[in-house]
Amino acid sequence: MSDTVSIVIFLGTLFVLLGFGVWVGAALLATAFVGMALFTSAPIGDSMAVTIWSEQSSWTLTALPLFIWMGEILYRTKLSETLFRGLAPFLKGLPGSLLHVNIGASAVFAAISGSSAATVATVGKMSIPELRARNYPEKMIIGTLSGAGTLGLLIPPSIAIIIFGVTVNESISKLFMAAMIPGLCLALLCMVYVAIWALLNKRTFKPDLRVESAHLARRLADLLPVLVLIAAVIGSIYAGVATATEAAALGVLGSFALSWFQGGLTWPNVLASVMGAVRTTAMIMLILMGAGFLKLAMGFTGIPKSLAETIAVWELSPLALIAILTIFYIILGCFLDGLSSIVLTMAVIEPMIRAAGFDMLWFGVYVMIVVEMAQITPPIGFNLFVLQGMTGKDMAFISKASFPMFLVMCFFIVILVMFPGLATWLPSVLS
Amino acid sequence: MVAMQRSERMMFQALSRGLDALYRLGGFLAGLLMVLLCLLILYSIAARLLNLYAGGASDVAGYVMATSTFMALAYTFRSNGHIRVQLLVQRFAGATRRGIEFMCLGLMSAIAIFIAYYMTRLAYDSYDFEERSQGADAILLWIPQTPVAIGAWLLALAVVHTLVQAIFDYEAVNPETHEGASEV
Repeated sequence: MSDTVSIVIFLGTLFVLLGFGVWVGAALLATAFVGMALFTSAPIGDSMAVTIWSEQSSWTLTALPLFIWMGEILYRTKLSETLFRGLAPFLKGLPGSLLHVNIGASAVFAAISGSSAATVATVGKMSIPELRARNYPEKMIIGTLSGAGTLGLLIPPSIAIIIFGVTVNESISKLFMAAMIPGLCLALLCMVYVAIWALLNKRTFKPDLRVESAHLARRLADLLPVLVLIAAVIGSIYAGVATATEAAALGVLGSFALSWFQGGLTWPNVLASVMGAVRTTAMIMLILMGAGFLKLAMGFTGIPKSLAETIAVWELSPLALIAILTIFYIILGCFLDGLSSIVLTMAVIEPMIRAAGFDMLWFGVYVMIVVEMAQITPPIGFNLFVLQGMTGKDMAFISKASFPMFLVMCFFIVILVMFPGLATWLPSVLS
Repeated sequence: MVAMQRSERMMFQALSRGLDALYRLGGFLAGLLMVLLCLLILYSIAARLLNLYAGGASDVAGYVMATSTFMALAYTFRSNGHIRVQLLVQRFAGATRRGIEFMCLGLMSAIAIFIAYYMTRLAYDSYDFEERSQGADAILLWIPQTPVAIGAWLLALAVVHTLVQAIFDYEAVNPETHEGASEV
């Protein structure tokens, strides 16, 4: 059989299995099986078992379940209330007023939880009813929430970054350093958008601006433990005193302390957080198993190598390459969730990216942003699903409300390409 | 639906509930192991600060994580925790959807059994060759690999269980009425 036919069968298997709704991890495993059978005489099952075992028992990956658990604990605290009441008095003066709370609270929550959906759910739990009661336009409430919620993928610690780091063998600590400044910039950019929108719509935008601002000191005192927790988790990684895993374990401890401090630490909550974390971890791990084995099979097919060579022959400028990749990721993001698109694409394009001379830390940040965009593009966008559940609005309305944020992210990619130092500067200073 | 006597049906459902309890037990065990993983890492931090011995802690942490993950796979599968792309299949309903669901479950069963078989072989080979980990702990590798293989068999059982349920009692697993997966 010619190689071309084999490649068509191999890739066809992948799309058919994914399309027919086979569980993503299993679809990747089965595709890898087909690839191994077509392109190599290596023992398939044994190679798979060794690949799965070495990845699943690796030290680097231990940060994953712990950061997930940390997010699950914090999700069950009164954090959403604390963040809203603590941030509202300070942000209400800006044009756009309390809409900025959505963004600010998302950025803060993103810094303690690694998940985008959890960020949306936690921040929205408090802010949706509060903003609705104050006559804020629904489309802005939803838009800011779904857009800023994606910061959970970018601002460290982030589950998606850990997965990227494990997939391409880059230091997770360094990736966490690289993502910080872009994360903050993107949050800022979202706020700028809200401010501009508010100024342009001065006439129709008349929300109720009253915010309870008594006991401000008490509110700040409530916020303090959260900020300390963030500083401890991220700071310990940046200072080089803790690995990502150690920081995660300390983060779990800190979240328990915070939860206890707020009086939300009950047995049912603890049990629910553990079981929730275990489920999410198992879900991600099954995909990672598939991705790891698929990466091995991909190597045998020669697709990544010939793709890298083809791109090299075309002599595309890095700019053109990034433009093409961005379009590709946006389309892919319409059909696949962010996590699956990271692991699936990196198995194919990693050699190409390295051959084109991209800095992998920079590229990691870039991938996080395009995947963030995938979170809010219909028909498959998990932030959209979460918001659908929370607001009861239909998908079309939520997608439309989120679209400006999608454009903000596109714009930020341009900035990131023009100023790569946003991502590469901090890791070079800290290490 | 394949015709089934009422008594048969009740027996089947009782068995199904029993198996679900087993997967849940695996889930709890996975939870305990995750707590253990966290404690282990906290201990290694404390050990470093106090100059206590914590050799091999990072290897053991990896084994604990692997075991925890595999113990949770079946529970996660049964509680619809594993994600899949529903975009295309959502367009189908009734018999067509049912046919697709059979195919998915059939394939998933084959894959799960394949994984379980080879994870078992991995553990057996490690036992046979007395392989030890490269780290400071030098643990015999079959020790952590055995529970991993057991977890893989538990997943295989859960998938086959769901397939059998789909054949005899489709409404219990109908993806059109059961909620989809959660997400990161």
